Amino acid sequence: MSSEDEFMSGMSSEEDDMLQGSDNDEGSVDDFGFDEPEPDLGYSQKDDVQAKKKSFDVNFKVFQPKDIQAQQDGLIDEVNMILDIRKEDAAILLRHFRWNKERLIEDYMDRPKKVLEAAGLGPSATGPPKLEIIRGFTCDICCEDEAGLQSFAMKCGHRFCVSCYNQYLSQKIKEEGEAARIQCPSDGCKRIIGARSLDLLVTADLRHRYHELLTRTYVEDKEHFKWCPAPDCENAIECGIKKKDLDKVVPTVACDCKHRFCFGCILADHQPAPCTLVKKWLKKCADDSETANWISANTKECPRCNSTIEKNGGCNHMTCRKCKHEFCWMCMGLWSEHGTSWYNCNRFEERSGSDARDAQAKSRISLERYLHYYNRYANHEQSAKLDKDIYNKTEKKMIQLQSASGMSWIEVQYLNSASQALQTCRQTLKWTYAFAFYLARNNLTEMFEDNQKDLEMAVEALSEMFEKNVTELAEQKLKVEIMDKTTYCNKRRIILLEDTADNLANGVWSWSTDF
Amino acid sequence: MALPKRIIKETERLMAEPVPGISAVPHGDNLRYFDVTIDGPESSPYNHGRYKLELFLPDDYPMTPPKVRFMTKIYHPNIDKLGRICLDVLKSNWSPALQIRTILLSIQALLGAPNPDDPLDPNVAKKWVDDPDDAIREAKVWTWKFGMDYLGFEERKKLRSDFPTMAKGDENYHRAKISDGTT
Ligand SMILES: [Zn+2]
Ligand SMILES: [Zn+2]
Ligand SMILES: [Zn+2]
Ligand SMILES: [Zn+2]
Ligand SMILES: [Zn+2]
Ligand SMILES: [Zn+2]
Repeated sequence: MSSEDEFMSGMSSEEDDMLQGSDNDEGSVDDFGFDEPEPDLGYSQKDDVQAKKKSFDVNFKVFQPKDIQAQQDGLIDEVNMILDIRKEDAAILLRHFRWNKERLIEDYMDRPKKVLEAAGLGPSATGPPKLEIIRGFTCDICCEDEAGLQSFAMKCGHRFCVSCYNQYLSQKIKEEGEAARIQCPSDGCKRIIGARSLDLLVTADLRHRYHELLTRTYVEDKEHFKWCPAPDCENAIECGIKKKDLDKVVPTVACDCKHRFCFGCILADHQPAPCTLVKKWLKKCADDSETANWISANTKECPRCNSTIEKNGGCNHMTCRKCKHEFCWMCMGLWSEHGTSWYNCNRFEERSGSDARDAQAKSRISLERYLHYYNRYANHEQSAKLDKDIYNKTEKKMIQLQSASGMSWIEVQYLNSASQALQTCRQTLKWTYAFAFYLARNNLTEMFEDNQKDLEMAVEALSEMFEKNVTELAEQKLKVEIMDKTTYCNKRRIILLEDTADNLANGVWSWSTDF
Repeated sequence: MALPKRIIKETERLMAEPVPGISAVPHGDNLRYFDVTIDGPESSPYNHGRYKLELFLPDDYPMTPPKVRFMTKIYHPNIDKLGRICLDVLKSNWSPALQIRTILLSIQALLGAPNPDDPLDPNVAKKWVDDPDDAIREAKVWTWKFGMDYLGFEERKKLRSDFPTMAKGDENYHRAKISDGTT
C-alpha cells in the first residue's frame, strides 16, 4: 500500500457521512435554480395592494458586514467595561456564551472562576503572549529538540514549537473551518486559543481567514440571524421567525443583493409551500429523478405530426413549425382549450377508485399523479430560465430600439418589469405544484386551484407577448398590453399567496399522508 | 519524502518498549503503514481474541489522526462490518500530542467498554441495549469464530468450553471446521 487513498479506498467518504450525523441536511440541496429577482412591481406601484403589508410577508432586516462587526465590537466593549476584563477575553467569553451577553454577565458575577475555566481562560496570569526559546526543550508533536527552537505555550503551560503550532492552526482554520473554539493542541486540554496568541503564530492569510470565521460565528450563534446564501454575498438577515413557526408561515426574506430566500431553510423562495413540504418534495424529486428526467428535457415531439420541437422561450404555447399544430407544452393538449373557461391544465383529475383495483394500477396512478405535478413544477423552473434568456437577448435589442424609435431608457423599462414579474410568478407557480401534490382535497382546494389557474394563464399570456420581436415590441399598443399584463400577473400572485398564507396560518389546509 | 522525525521516534519506541497485548510493525516498503494486533481485554467477550488491524499515517500526521481499521471481523457496537471504528480520539478529539501508542490503547479500551450510545453499527448497538446478555454471547461467538486464528489447534480446543454454544445449525458447521483444524 502506498497511499492513504488506497488504504482507505471505499470507506472514507461514507464513513464521514456516518460519523458526522445529519445536522447539515438543511440547505444541502442547492436550489439556486435561477437568480430570482425581487418582484419589481414597477408599474403597479400606484396600486394600494402594493403599499400595505401582505399576509405572506415577514419582518426582517438586512445587515452588511460592517454592521455585523460593529454589533460584535459593541458587545465586546460593553462586557470589557462591565466586567473589567481584557477585550480579547471578553470576546472569548461572549463566543462561549453564544453572544448571550445577559447570561454571561449573570454567570460571571456568580462564579467568575468557573466561567473562565469553562471558556478555556483558566487561572489568569499576566503579560501578553510571546514566543520563547527554552533550553533543553523538545517539542512533543514533532520531536524536534534543536537549540534555538522557538516555542509557544498558553497559560496552561503546554508548550510546542512554533512550526507545529502553525501547522495545527492551519489545519483547524483552513481544513476544519474552526475559529472560536480552537483548543490547545495538548490532548484533553480545553484552553482556547485567543486572537492575540493566534496573531503571533500564523501567517497573514490565515489570520485573515481566522477573523473572517470569527465574524461568521457571531451570525451562526445568534438565533435570529442567518447568512444570505447567495454566492459571494456577505450580508446577514435578521428575522424573528422560529423553527416551530414554520408550519404556519413561509418566511421569505429579500437580501440587498436581490436574492430572495426562505429564512426557515435558506433555500430560494418557495412560497406558498412550507419548508417541510419543500424538503420532502425535493427529496422525492431527487429519488425519482430517473423517471422524471425526460420531462424537463427541452425537446418533445409534436403530438400531431411527431416532428421534434424545441422549446426556446418560456412560453408554453407551442406551434409546430411543420404542421402548425398549436398545443400546450405542459399537458400536450390543444392550446385552443387553454385560456378558456374549461382550462384545467393545472388540475390533476383524480380517477375513481374502481380504476385502481390492483396494486399495480394504484402505483401507476400514483406515478401519473406525481408526474403531473412534477411536470408543471419542472416546466416553470425551466420556463423562468428561458424567459430570462429571452430578456437578456431582448435587452440588447432594446438598446438598438431606443435609438431607432426615440424611446428613452426609462420608457423601455417596462420590459424589465415584465421579465421580473415572469421570474417571480413562475417561481411561485413552480412551488404551487409541489404544494398541490401534497394537498388533500377539501373545500379550500378549489379556490386554490382557481387562483393557480388564473396566475398561470396570466403568466403564459405575458410570456407569449414577451417573445414578440423587437419591432412589434416597439409598438405602443403592445407596450401598454405588456404593462397591464405585468400588473395583473403581480396582482394574481399576491392574491394566491395571501390565500395560501392565511389558510396556512389558520391551520386549515389538510395534507395527504402520501408524503 | 523523508520520514518525519516524529514518526521515526514513535516507531523506535513502539519496537523498544512494546505495549502489552498490542503490536504494531511498520511495512518494510512503507514506513507509514503498520500491521497491528490488539488482544481482547480479559474481562471482555473478546478475551482470547487477537485482532488484526491496519494503521496508516497520512501525510499531515500528526495534525490529522492515523487511519485505523479492523481487519478481523468483530461484533461490537462501535465497529462496523468494514472494520471502521467510531472513536472520538480518531475524529474530533484527536490531538497532535496523541500517538500511535495512545490510539491503540484507546481502541483496546473500547473493546473493554463498548459504547452503544454512540453506535456505528445500529443493529449491534440496539442488541447491546435491548438484550446485553445475548449481545455478549454473540460477541463471544464471533471471537471464537474469527479472532482465534493465532492459536494452535490443541490450545484452541482447551478453550472451547469458555465459549457459548452456537446457534442451532451453526454447531455442526463449526464442529466440522474445528475438527479439520481450520476456521
Ligand atoms: Zn514541533
Ligand atoms: Zn494546554
Ligand atoms: Zn445577499
Ligand atoms: Zn423554507
Ligand atoms: Zn406538428
Ligand atoms: Zn396545458
